[in-house]
Amino acid sequence: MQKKKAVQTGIPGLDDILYGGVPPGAVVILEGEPGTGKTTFGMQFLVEGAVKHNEPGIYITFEELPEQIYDDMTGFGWDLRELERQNKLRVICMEPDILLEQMLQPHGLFEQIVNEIGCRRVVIDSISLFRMVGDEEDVRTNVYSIRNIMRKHTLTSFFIREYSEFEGMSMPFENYICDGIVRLSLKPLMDKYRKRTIEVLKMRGTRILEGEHTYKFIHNGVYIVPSLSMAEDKMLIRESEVLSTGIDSLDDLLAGGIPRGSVFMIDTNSKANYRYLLSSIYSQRIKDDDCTVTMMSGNTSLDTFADTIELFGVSLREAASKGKAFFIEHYRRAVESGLEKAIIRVDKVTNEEYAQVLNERLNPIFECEELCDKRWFVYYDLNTIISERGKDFLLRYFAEEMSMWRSLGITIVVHCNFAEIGTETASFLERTCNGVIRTWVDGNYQYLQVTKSPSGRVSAPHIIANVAEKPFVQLI
Amino acid sequence: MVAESDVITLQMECTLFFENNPYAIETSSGLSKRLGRSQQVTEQALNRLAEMSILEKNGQGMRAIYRYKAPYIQTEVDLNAYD
Amino acid sequence: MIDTHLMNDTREICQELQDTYAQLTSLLVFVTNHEGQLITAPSNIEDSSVFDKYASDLKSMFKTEIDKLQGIRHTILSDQWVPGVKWLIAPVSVDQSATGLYVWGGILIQQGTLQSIITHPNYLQPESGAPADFIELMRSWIQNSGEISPEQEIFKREKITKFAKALSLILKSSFKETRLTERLNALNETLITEQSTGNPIEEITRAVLASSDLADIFGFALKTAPGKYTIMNSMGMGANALGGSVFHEGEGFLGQAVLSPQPSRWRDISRDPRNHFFQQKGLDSVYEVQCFPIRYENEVYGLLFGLSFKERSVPSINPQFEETMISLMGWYIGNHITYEKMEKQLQRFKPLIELSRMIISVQDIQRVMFMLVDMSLNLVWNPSASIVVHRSSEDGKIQMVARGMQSPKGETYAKDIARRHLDNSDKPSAHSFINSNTPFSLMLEYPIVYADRTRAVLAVAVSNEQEGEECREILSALAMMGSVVMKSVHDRQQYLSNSNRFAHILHESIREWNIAHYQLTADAQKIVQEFAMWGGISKEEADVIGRACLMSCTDPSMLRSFPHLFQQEAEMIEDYKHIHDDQSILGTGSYSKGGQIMALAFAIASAGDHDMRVVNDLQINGVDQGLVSQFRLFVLSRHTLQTEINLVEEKAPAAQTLTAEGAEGRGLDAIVKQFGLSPREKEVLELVVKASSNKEIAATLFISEHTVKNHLTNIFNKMGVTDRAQAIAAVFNKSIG
Repeated sequence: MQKKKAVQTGIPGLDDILYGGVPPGAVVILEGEPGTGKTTFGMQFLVEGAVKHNEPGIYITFEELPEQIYDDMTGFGWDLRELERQNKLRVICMEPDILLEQMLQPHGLFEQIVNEIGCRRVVIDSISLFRMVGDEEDVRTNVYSIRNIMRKHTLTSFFIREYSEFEGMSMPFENYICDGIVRLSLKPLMDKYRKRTIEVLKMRGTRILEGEHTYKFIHNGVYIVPSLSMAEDKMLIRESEVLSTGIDSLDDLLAGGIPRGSVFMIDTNSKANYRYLLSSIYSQRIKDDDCTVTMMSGNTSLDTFADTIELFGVSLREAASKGKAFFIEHYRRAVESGLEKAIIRVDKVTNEEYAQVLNERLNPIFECEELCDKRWFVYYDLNTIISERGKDFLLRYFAEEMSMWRSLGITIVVHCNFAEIGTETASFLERTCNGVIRTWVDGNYQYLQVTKSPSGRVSAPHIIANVAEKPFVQLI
Repeated sequence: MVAESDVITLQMECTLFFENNPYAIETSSGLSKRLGRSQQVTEQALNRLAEMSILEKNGQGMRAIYRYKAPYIQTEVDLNAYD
Repeated sequence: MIDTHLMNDTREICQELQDTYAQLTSLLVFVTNHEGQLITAPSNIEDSSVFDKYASDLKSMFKTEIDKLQGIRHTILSDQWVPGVKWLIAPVSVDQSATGLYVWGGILIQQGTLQSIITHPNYLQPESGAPADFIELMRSWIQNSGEISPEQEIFKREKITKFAKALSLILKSSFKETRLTERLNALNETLITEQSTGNPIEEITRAVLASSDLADIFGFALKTAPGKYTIMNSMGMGANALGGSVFHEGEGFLGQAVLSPQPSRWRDISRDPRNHFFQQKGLDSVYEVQCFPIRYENEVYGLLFGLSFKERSVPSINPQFEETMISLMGWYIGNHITYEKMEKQLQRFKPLIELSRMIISVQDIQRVMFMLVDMSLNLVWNPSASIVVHRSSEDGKIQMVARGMQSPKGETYAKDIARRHLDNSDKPSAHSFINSNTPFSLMLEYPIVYADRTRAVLAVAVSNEQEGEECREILSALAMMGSVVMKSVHDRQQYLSNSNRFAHILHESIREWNIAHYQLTADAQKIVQEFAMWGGISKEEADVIGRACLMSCTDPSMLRSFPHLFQQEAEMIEDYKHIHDDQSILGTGSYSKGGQIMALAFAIASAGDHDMRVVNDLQINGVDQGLVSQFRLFVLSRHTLQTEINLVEEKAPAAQTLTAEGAEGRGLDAIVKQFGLSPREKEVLELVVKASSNKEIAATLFISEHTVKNHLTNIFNKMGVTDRAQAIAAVFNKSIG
């Protein structure tokens, strides 16, 4: 095929998957089960073409009434009747055999309409209906003729096909004669949720981003999130960096990771095991050569913590010895001597002095010449603050301190048990944080859910499963 | 025998159908299925509408196709212009 | 003929009566018809076999005699065979028509004549061809009976006359009865066959009248316009000339008859000037006119009439019956026409009402007009043309939608309608008019009145005034529906323009004390409108959000105090303020879309048009990410568009329209050449122009983000620009320059 400029589908994300778009005049099968949004996809292709690229389109429906489609699509803010008035769109309904007859006829109605509006894009909904007309051989000939007619007029087109997993073992013949296949699916996700995915199975004349990508219906149509996380980042956090949590599946939920300079809360209930979760996030920072400040909790000594981190294949002790890891310690506990100089002991520090002491110790470190280019990561255990310094202190101190650190571009993860601190404090903390990751045990499973994120996305609950290798947990 | 009022009802239903779906291209059998009416009466109604030039009819018999003929519209007739 | 009515019972009674009178008069009595055929068995004779034996000879003999008596009205005495041999012959008449039967009574020999009879040469040797046996019978009767006195003769004459009269009475009643039965049978048959074949009422009428003997010519006239009647059907000798003729109320006999609720009848009209109507049609000798109105209740639909000539061949057997029958027929037709008229309207009212729900829900003025035009054609009897004229604004412009009208006649007529109905400042009237003074045929015009003014007119062509009268009601129902729908559309627009006006007043009010905010809100509203034009939201949404922008300084609770006016706007402003204050208590997705769009629009507006960095940093808590990225694309395309426009204004007198695509291609090549960009740098720049982020570029080109940054730095340095916005602008500049 001659290399021509790709036709942008205009469906957000799809053109990325297709590295620009669809070759002009290509005939693409758009298949999917009922409810996957084939009509919306098809119509969005035409509306985007009409509005943004000045490419008028024809939507041919065999079963659905145009008026129904006009109505349904107003939900996405598309005024199809207005586009028709501007001669940028035609929503035509007719029977399959009539379409065929009119297409094959010289100067038939199809050609008339194509010329009338200068049509560039066509959607046929759906070619499955051709199976009702004539036998297998006829159907093949018919679809083949239609494809040729599309090519002749350089009409970039989507042929919608009903798809069912059980429809038979043999490959539908359309797959051979069309230029591309796009499949929409609804995949079960846990018991209650379903995930919408889109996959480009074939596209002649262009590279494709392989694999299944998630898509959603948003207020103005379909929105595809390409599955490569870096592609996803750009829509969600743009230029800003994200810090990986070390758990791929969690990074996916967070659109790549925890955005740099944000405050994330990990809320656990008493039964939940958050050790691997936190350890993974922390060790990933070490691995990425970031600098860290950690507030030690009462039930984990620094040595135990360091040993856990070793399991992830990085050395906390080494980082500390290089002056890249510091620890805030509320408890008088002995540690290996090698780590002592990295400890900021605050066990004797009163509430009134606390902020000042901390700043005096940390600010020179944050601002020192050789470390100021580094990324800083702070882990804060709020349970310790509350038990050692009280709720009132937390409310006074927390927001102020966090915003100061954020202004320095420091990324903060705090850990807390919302259930134990009361709703008022919990909602205060939730407001102050940019993101909340909640994990809890219910029955035999532990769950994790991102309930707040800077991008506004809220995930479905996922089950946390243990795995033998690091990071030892994964989300299902 | 089909009651006249049934034919007129169908005529009006067809008119509304084509007003709401101005780019529909239908045969009498196709439209009768959509409207849930008998093909024979639908055809009768469609032919009357074609006579009134509300519809355009192409072809004859069962294969005849019908589509809406938009009425003559002038959105800006200047009252003060000379006739 | 008459004798055929002498059947069974009647015949027996007649025979008995004849026997009785024969005995009373001692005469040989029998009855023949006018053909001489014997109808009864002769009485007073022992052996009547001679009558059977010579039936045909006797028949011709009697016939000869009867022919001589043509037209007798009374009993006469007639000589037969030999002078003096006398028979009484009494005619039996059933009606005014020619005598049908004859009673024969013989033989009378008057006093002093017997001798001359038997001596007459014919007595023994008859000349006539009468059979010898019959002659013998008469000879023996003469010899046996002898002479009678004049008193006896009178007595016999009276009795025979009486017998003839009695016979006449019996026959008459029997005849009538038979005729009536026949008539009823025929009627019955006609009605049954006509009804079952579903023939129109004209055919039935025609069939019924054709079998009536009330008149020689019948006609059937129907009202075709108010006060005007047309003869639809006529039958009888010379009746063809009447077909299609027209008469008016009060004109001539027929015109006077339609004014009377009763049947009318005029006789002996040859000198009456009103006869002129018939004479004109070549009907010179009309003697009688009978008229039966076709009506139902107070409505006259037409006339059934009969014309009789002076010389009627067969007078009506039972005029009262025929009159009643035709009167009833007139009433029946009247009823039928009323029914048909109601049925015709019902046939249309029913569907109109069934579909009214769908019709009423139309919310677009042009579609309402389409609907009125198309439906009106469905509703009139003979659809040919229809037009709706609507005046939406106060300027001199109108909108029209028409079918069956050619330009420019349609426009001319539309203007005429507008001047007559839409200009008038008098109290509007919703009454319909029939207008014959149009470039088309008759037009029924319906003013559509709402909000105290005539705002539109529906005009439908009808083939005649009668049709106009008949479909007036149904079209009026349609026009009424039209006015309801148009009013609801109008109210909505009114509501919108009120709220727009008010929003602008509120906006103007801040100009005094905060010009900066005044400008900012105006810019935000403009951005929202452009966002709608770009396709991000619908125009309706943009209107509401735009108003919310203008009134963003106003206290939402104050806005809520206007009933029904600014509820949506108030909510948006509240949401916008929450987003703006970054108090994302509700969490994302809880804010209204309008509030979120306001936040974005204000962010762009406050940054100013040229700062593309805002676009890249666009990130607002509480605003949906999809919406943000859509807005980013919009702002980017808006920026390039503005650049284009500026350049076009400055450089090119002939405006040149550019597509992003074309600009991209040409501009890029030029830049690459001018600044010596490497192929990789070209690829990067190409993606930058498409508003790709560094991440996207990295993903697309399979390089690290770091490398992308390096490339960008190099590109910017080579091009001498500082950021991507300038780079994009440069590409577009090149594409034009």
